[in-house]
Amino acid sequence: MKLKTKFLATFAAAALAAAPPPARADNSPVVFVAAIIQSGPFKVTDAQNLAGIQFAVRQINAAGGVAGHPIQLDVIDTELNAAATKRKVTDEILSRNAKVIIGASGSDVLKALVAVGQQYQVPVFAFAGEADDMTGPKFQPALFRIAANTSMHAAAIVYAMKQDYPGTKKVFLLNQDYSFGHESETGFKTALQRLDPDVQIVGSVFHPRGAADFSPYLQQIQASGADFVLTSDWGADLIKLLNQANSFGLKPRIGGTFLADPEILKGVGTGAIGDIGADVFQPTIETSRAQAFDRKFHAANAGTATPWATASVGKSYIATELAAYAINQAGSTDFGKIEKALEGLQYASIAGPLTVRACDHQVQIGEATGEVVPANNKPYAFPFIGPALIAPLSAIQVPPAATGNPRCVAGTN
Amino acid sequence: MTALEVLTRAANAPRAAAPRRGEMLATVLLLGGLAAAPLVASRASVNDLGQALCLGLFAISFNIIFKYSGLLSFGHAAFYGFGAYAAALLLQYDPGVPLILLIPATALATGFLGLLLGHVCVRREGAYFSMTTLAIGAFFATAALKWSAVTGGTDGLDGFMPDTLSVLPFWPLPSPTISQTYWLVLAFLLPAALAAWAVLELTPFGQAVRAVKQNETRAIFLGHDAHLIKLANFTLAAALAGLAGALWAVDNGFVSTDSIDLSFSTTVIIAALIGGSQWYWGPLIGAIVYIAASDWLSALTPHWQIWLGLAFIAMVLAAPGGIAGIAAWVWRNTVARDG
Repeated sequence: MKLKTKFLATFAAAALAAAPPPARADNSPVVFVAAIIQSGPFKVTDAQNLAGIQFAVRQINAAGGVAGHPIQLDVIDTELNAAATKRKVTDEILSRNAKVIIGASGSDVLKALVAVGQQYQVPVFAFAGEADDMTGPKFQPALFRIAANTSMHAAAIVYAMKQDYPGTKKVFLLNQDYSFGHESETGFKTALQRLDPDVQIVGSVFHPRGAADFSPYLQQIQASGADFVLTSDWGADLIKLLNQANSFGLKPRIGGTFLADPEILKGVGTGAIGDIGADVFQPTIETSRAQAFDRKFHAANAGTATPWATASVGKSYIATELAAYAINQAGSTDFGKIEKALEGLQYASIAGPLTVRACDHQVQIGEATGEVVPANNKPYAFPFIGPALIAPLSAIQVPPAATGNPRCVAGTN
Repeated sequence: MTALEVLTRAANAPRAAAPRRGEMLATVLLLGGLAAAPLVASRASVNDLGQALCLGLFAISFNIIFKYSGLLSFGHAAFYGFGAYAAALLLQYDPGVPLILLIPATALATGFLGLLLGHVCVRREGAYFSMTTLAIGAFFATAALKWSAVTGGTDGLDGFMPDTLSVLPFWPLPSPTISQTYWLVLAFLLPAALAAWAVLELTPFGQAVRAVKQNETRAIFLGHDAHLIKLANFTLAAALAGLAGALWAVDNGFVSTDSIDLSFSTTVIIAALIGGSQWYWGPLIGAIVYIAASDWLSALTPHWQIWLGLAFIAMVLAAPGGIAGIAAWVWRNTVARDG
């Protein structure tokens, strides 16, 4: 008898566990999943992105959350590995009912996120991953990209070069020898042809990723008579390039798509003064909105590894803010409604007014460029990007017809 | 003791004296559990298990060289990646190609690649074999990275999975669910893995492979062509790795350089040794444990790789037979002793 009672109790417990969950309470959270590199040598890269997302989530929750629900931020470690990322983010959707994906450094990792987002109809808000084809020929509607694409980013550097160094007649292109480096080289060439057709390209070299010695390339640059160097190098390669160029006594200044990063510039010091960087956001944008953001971010993050707003902080903040805004506009976490709310959306971001282009979901916004100036504690105690010069959207935009995206070519702007 | 010797210690660990009855029971339980998993596990767990199965078959293929020929490959991901890219490219070229043709064709092509490369690799043993496979692995990883027109470079290949998957020529499977994809993977994986097991455990060829491993000189005196036998085993392992890669491409819907780079060749060694190289299915257990542990640990701490590495070192030093070895020890000291 006792055994029978125990069996019935166990059965009842199992049946309760298997029963559908009760209707969601009003204050149940909406899960946002952030795909961040949290381990390995590239961890530093994404620490800034995570700081921006966390700051945005705190602010949004303090203001009432999204559609009346607080945001629950789950963070997964991408390991910079597409397969692991795909597995983890799928788990987040299936077991945690995640409604928004924010990520991710590495085009292959972002592609994995988009594949999952597309399959389960969850929007992906990208703060990085710049490959042109993702909003071009390989467009998938789940992706909304806040980061500039490679062509826009390259064009912003060329625009800044033209403004800051108007006497430039000869440029040298130096890029890493892999798909992103090659795509960037094409972006630089296209932008030069469009923005500064009189400038002559006197050399273009690809170097292996992780090159230890840049002196052969520096000698080529010097010998070419170039006035300026354009590069899409990033991370340790960019630090080595800038340091070795300084030791070598390279005369032409360098414009780098990923140069405007304190993690790069703190390791270079005065050697970078006069070089140029560009990105969607800079802490040196001189609008009152951007300055207020810088102050609030610093107040909340002083003493942490990311005490000041950076380009990455700004982009990941905008990505999170845009996701929340879209859910509020849609009044729902339904993908179709969010997509509808976002397509063609005009939004006043901390970096300035932006538009989510309907045909390719590529955010359209001018880029903040800047020249590295001597240390002035604004905000860093080492040479950093000076007052931002905005490269207008008209100068860097990829026209819809040139994207290769069938929807854009067909005229859905 | 060098790192190579420490790792090889696992391959030479005394074979558990557990009776065949125990191994057969464990095999039936394992394979039955895997087949029934979608009926009882959550969709998220089935999703993880699908990836673990592909890694598991890959680890079994690695172990075919490691356990049966005593050769430690540091570049085995070359075959897995080759299979994955080949399947993705074939699906990209013809989305209607039935899986029943695609998967075996990819395995055969990878086996042929293994035959060509193995001809060079198996001429030497020990560190020389390991370094040769390392060089081959590096070559394929670099080719995948650089030949972006074909492989997509660092961006990888995506969008190759058709909305309607053709399993057999007249059996389309529109928008397969996670469980359906899992069973599809299992439907290809199990027969292939069982066939390889049968070849190695039940045929004179398997005996010859073991004879060459135990004493190559004696095997040659007995009339065996040691080079040919090692080459055939290497080819078999390569074909299975290619099959695992092709299944992974289908399950994942995405192929990137992660599937072919050198660190993945290390991952498979870890998975195989955690599971236990002395039991044929041990590496499959190791792959499941590896994926579960890495996902669990990475959610707890950003330093999860340190803990995983320490656990691996502890396993190699204290229990070179891996999880399977521990299970066999428990079996011997409980069920087998009582029975």
